[in-house]
Amino acid sequence: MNDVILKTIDLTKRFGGLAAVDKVSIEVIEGEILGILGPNGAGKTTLFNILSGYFRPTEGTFTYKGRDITKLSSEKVASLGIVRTYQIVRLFDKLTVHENLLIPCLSARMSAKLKDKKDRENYIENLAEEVGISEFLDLPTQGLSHGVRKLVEFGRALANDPDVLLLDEPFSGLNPVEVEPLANVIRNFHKKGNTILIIEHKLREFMKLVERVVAMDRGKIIASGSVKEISENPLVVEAYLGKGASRFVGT
Amino acid sequence: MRRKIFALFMIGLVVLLLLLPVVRDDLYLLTILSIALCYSVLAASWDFFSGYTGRENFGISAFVAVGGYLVGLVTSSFNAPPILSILMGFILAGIVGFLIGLPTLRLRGPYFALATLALVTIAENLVLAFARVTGGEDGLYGLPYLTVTIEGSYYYVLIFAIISIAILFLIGRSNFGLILKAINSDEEATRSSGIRVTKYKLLSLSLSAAFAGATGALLAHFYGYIGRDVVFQSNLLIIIMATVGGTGFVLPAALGGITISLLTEYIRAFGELKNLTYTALLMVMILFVPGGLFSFVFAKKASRKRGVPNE
Repeated sequence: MNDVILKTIDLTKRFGGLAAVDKVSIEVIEGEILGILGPNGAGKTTLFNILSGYFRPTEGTFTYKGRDITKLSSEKVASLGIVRTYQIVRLFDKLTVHENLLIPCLSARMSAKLKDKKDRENYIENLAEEVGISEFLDLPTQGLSHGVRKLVEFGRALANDPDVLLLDEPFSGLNPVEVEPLANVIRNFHKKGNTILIIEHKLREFMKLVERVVAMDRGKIIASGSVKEISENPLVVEAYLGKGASRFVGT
Repeated sequence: MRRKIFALFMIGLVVLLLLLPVVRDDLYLLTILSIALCYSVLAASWDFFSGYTGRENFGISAFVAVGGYLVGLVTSSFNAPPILSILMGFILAGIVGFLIGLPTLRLRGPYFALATLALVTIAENLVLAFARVTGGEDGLYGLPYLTVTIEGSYYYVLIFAIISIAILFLIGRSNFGLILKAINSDEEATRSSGIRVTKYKLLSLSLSAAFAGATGALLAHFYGYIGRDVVFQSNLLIIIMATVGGTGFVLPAALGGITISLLTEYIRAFGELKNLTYTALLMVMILFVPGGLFSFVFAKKASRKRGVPNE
């Protein structure tokens, strides 16, 4: 059994009267792929915004490898090796693909690992190869197709050499042909022993990737377990289809 | 190709400016060119912060004032050569830029721009309030000139401009400049990449302020005078220069500075129609070359190659 790498305790974020995230306690095991499921407005992205240091929680704390990191800024969280992607791709659109991958290499964390320009170039070339975006390196990101942009964003997250990846709806807007390459690089990253949290609102996307799912609705955790357990859980079904719907499922 | 031609053009321009006093004995031309070169440094230093990071600094004059009025203070107390007060202007304005940036750069949205706008008003009021030191409305006269001849002063300014613009251009092209552009594109994503955004913005603003301060000191020595008209009247003009030239690459902004300065000078021939002609020309430029007159050299075209066949 591996150790708990990331742990949240009663994490709460209120916007005025609305508790977008309400007393969420999760334990993420090192090396697992944890899915966070929930309909729109369940608080999944807010949870990521807290974990990545963008929001301070109203209440509660979270620890990384046993250390309390509740009050760290985004750049500090990233420098510990917790890196995120966004629901709507956020690239540096005035820069080329190569430059997009270079930026994380210039952070304090990565410049300690990559001593000079030659190191960085090799690192970026290998990374681009791994993610499958080598042919686009010299192009500006603006104008690339959505599928490639998703891959570039994923590559930029990987360039930080993260231990924990937070992926916010990585497959949204992708057609079936585009899903597979991305799913593959996610699997490869996981095989190296890294931890991944994935947000999705469609359970089907999880099936092939995720080992364990936490389901959220209206800021609260309503269920957790394997994909199969979650898909049969009446509370989850109701969160998606409305009250009473669980009676009709499985019949 | 475009860049090679542009590099040749820049080298040609520098050679021309260096040889000018030898081939033409025109003191009027040398004077207005010296001033134009000062403004090209100011436009370049404005661009180095605002053009790169995308945070508009409406207060560059405040930093020019630091350098300019420092000359008055320094030369009234001891007999220092111009290079010393220019260096002191550089350092002091850099420190002031750092101190101003510390609280204001944390502001999001338009509040940084508003804060810098307020800064100019504060600086101008300080100049009036401390009239005993700054000369108030009248300014300070009788400051030591850069050199005894106009040719000498012209070369002084020219060398200063070449060095300053080259430094800003090279830093802008380095990884430092790249990080500033990433901040411009998406500040939060830059933070999430582990980059200490505030540190880079602070350094950029300090360096921009430092060069503005050095130029302020240079202008004071060039005119032998420093006053509100020299410092504060050109506040918005500097932004116009950089924008008309093209932002985000230093050199286009610097060329914009020279172009607009010369334009402002020669347009005087239009007499009463001066302002009308000037505004009309600016509007035409902004309408037809919104990215800037000279930035086409550096601009990257969006790729046609989109990557995946089934769009």
